[in-house]
Amino acid sequence: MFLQYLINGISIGSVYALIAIGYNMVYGILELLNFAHGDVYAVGCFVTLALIAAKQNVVVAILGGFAAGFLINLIVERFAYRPVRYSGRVTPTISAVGIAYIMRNVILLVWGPETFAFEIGIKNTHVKVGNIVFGTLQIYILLIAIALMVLIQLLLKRTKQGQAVLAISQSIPTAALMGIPVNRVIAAVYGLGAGLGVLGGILFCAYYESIFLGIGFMLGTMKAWMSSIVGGIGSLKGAVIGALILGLTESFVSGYISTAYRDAFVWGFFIVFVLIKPRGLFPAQISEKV
Amino acid sequence: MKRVQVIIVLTVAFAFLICGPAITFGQNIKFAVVSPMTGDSAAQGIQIKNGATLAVDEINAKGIKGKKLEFIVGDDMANPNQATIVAQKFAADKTLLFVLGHNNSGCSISALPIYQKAGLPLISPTNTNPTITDMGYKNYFRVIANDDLIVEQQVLLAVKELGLKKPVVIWENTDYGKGMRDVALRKLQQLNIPLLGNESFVPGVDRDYSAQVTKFKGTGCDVVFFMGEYTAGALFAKQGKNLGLTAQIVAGSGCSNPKLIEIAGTAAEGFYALTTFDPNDKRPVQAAFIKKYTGLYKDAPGEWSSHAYDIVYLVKKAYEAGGTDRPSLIQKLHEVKAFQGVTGTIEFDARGDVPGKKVMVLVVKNGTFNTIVPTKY
Repeated sequence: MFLQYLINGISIGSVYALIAIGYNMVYGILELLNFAHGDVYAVGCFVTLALIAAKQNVVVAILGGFAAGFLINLIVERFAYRPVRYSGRVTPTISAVGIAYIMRNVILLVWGPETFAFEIGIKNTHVKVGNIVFGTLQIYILLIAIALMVLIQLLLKRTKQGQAVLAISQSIPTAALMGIPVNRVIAAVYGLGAGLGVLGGILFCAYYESIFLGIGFMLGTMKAWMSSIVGGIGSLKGAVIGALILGLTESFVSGYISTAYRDAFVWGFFIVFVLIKPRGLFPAQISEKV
Repeated sequence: MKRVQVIIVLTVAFAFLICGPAITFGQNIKFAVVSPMTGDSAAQGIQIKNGATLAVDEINAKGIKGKKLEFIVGDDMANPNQATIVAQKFAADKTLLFVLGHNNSGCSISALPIYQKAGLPLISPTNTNPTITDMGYKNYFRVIANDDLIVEQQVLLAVKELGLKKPVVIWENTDYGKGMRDVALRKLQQLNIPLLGNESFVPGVDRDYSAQVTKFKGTGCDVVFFMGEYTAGALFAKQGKNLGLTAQIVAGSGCSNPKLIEIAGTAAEGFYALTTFDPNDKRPVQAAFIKKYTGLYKDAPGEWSSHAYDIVYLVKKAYEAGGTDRPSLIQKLHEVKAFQGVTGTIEFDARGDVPGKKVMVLVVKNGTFNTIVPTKY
């Protein structure tokens, strides 16, 4: 059974990782605890569901969801985050919570509160080795998460736009003086963060073959946030490893301790962890200029 | 002096204004429908509302003693905390004759003290936790068989009819799920069958059942007693199949919803669910109700809509017998004898239970629920 719990844990963890990457990227650059992350990408996933229901091609549906997430965050950034950008850390966090509620209610209004089957043709074949079962989709999800992590890091380090983003993360006024179009770059970071979230969310829904309102906050924002804290907030590598640790902890606690009190044990572990390593396993590598 | 008089007049006028609804008796008989209208079990709340609406529309075509029925809707989100908030709102509304709801046992349990204080009758279409009627509330009624009966049949179906004797149980962590688990454990003990696994989940939150499935697989069980609602049931069936769990799933009444098949797809094949309303009933009254409901709402009626439908007609009968205010309605409901509804015979015992109700068995075959009649118990 140990091996199966291990595989279950890695599977759950990779799904969390995918969502945590977009979340942690935004934090690393803009230092905003984006509590709207989950609910924004949830809207994107529902758009994909609607496009599939309207008999669109899978690729079109996924791109549609990505575009929806991207656009929503551009608008949200313009009207909810930009006006409070310089008013301290707490204010943007609160406007993010507000956006989360608005998005959740949009989903309620358009799609309703129910759980829908989510079958978009991404096949999840289950392979049996002895007594152990694992899905092929689980492997793809983990690979996609790692690939995205590497890709984003490369883009940040190797491209001009990436350098602009890094400059902004160090100091917005200085970046502006250097001629970097701050507003445009920040908007793009939010847009991409949401787009990545949508991709993660779609794989998440494909993995559980179902979609519902709660994929946003309960399973998205909260798990991404916990993964980021464990892994080191602002670090992409940390997000992936933190998510895997979270998944494994959940799986082993359910397997060997209790399914009824799983969350209590997981949160207990989380609190102890934060006391020992408050900055996470891999504190953000983006260096502050002194 | 004059100013004092003006103040008194204004105060009295204002008092009339706020007490208005309480002292003027309108032409309509008002009640409240409360259930989860949002969240994981919203499909049930919507069914309850639809069932009540259908009955109200039918009755209003003729009226009751020259009056019409109307209702307001409350959303308890299947959450006991939210249930008390809604209950307080209803309790403060003096125009309400009774409350139809809640869908979830836990919600009724937390809201009942509030209704009792207001003397407001609470008639639940779907509360099955056996302990509710042990609490001694005189204003509480339910028109559905409780879990003592349902779960007993669930265990008998697996053990006697299907010959499965290596059971495990998975229950949602609520009053409903715990109540069902307790009855199952008691019944299995009586039958001298050891339980091989006992796991739970949080409804509306948990989407991953791989840990439970893995544990069950390790026990070598041949039957899973599923104590929860259809969304979780569907996902459990799906993930169980994916992870190679071969045990038969036998669920209680929360899973007899066609949505289960929609969500689980082919993984629902062979899923057993008990029900107190047979969606394939061919008897004329039931068949007519099913046809009318399906035509109106483009959705087959289930336990939720059928029991809500029966409650409205039951109250009509009690109202016509003189139950025109809250205390007399409670009394007249107790006096109703052998009321024939679409869900069977309703007659309350002193506790507000319906001991005469029957339980039926459904099994998913070729993508729909089929009714089967057990022969071995």
